[in-house]
Amino acid sequence: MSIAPSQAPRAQRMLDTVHNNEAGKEISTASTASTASTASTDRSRSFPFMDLPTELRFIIYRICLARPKPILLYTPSAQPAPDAGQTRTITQQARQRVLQQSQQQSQRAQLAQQQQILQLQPVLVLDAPERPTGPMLPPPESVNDDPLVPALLGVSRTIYAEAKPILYNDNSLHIPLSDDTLRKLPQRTRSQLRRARISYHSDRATARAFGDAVRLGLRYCWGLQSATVVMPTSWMADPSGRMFAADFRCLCWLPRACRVVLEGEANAQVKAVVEARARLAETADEETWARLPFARF
Amino acid sequence: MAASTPATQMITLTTNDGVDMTIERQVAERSILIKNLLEDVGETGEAIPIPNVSEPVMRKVIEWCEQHKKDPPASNDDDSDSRKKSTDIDEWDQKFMQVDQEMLFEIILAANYLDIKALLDVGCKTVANMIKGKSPEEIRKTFNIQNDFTPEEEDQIRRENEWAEE
Repeated sequence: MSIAPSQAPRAQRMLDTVHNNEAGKEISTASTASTASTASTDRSRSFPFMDLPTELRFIIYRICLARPKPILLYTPSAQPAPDAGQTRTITQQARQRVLQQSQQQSQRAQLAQQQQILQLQPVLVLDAPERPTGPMLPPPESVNDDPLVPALLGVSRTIYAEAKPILYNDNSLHIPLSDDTLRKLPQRTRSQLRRARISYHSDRATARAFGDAVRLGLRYCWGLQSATVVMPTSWMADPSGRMFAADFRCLCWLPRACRVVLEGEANAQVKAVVEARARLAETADEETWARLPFARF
Repeated sequence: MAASTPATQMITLTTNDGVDMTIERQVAERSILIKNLLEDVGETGEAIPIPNVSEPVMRKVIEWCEQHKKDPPASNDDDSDSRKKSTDIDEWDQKFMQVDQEMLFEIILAANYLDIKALLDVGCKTVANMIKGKSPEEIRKTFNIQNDFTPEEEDQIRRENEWAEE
């Protein structure tokens, strides 16, 4: 045990310390004073971030780049303006506008569904509807609103290598429909995604966009471990339920190791498709699995 | 081990520069390292050596422990409190962390060594707040880091992660 060098000063110091404790705040006063004097000489020095142990750097990366709520994988500027072919400026207001637009779209879709149900119009028009023109974003309250610090990734090679997996591995990323941000990510980056969320809408146009998002985007996220499908709060009329089940066959494009989770109400036929896929993921041979998106099961 | 009046019981710590500091046991036990040590060793009355922490840093750590000695133990729910931003820091802690860079660095290392999770969190959040809203170049200056990317790589990384910006 290494103990104090000399006994007399030690006793004095001990007394001082006891006194400080009895006096309550005195320790903090002394400490603040000593800090203030150091601050005046050293404040201009930069923080030795790279001298921190790696595990502590990782704590800071998580504060900057990981969030408990799903993060929207979406670039407002990447979307073409409705009429002009110009790109939008990246601003928080632009993002907010699109989120509001999405809410209105969703309300309009619900209204249209209700009208269709009331009029009992046939909805088995699988080829006719066009895909939505703009991105289909989830309700703002369901995704993260705590800003990230992605600039950290551009600081140095070491930080990029250490912090990038945190952004893509530790977060659940919500993939909006009819948006190509995921598709534009380099393959090495898409492969780092571990948890994805995607919303399903039962109206025909957005159901097709759901299929596209899985087949053209999530399919290439080879490291994906779970895909959560957020089910709609209202459904179009389909007494047999078969039509909706067909929409979910696209999930067979997902990487084999990816688990599919249905969040919300799903009918028996939809659940059956998801369960069949999970069963085949465990039992099917390579060839059967590769043919699955085209097979009947 | 005697369980009598733990609130007023005093213990002595010896810092790496040979200074003895006597503090309340309850305050010292904010450190899980010291708490476990006291439980394992029992009441010997001997000073506990803290070989990785100097006196000025230990004083700051004790100041923080004094302030937070009555805090309830952290629950797992704390991290997932959606109302709280990841970089939110209490007002007292913000003032406490207004120290020079070297002291901040030492406090973080000490909190990690002494296993004081809440203090480590505050220290790391303070560092995160230093770079919030800054460009890569500004962060490099803050951390004194050399840019080892080519301009093309820098541009590629910016575009790749553009979606994560505010």
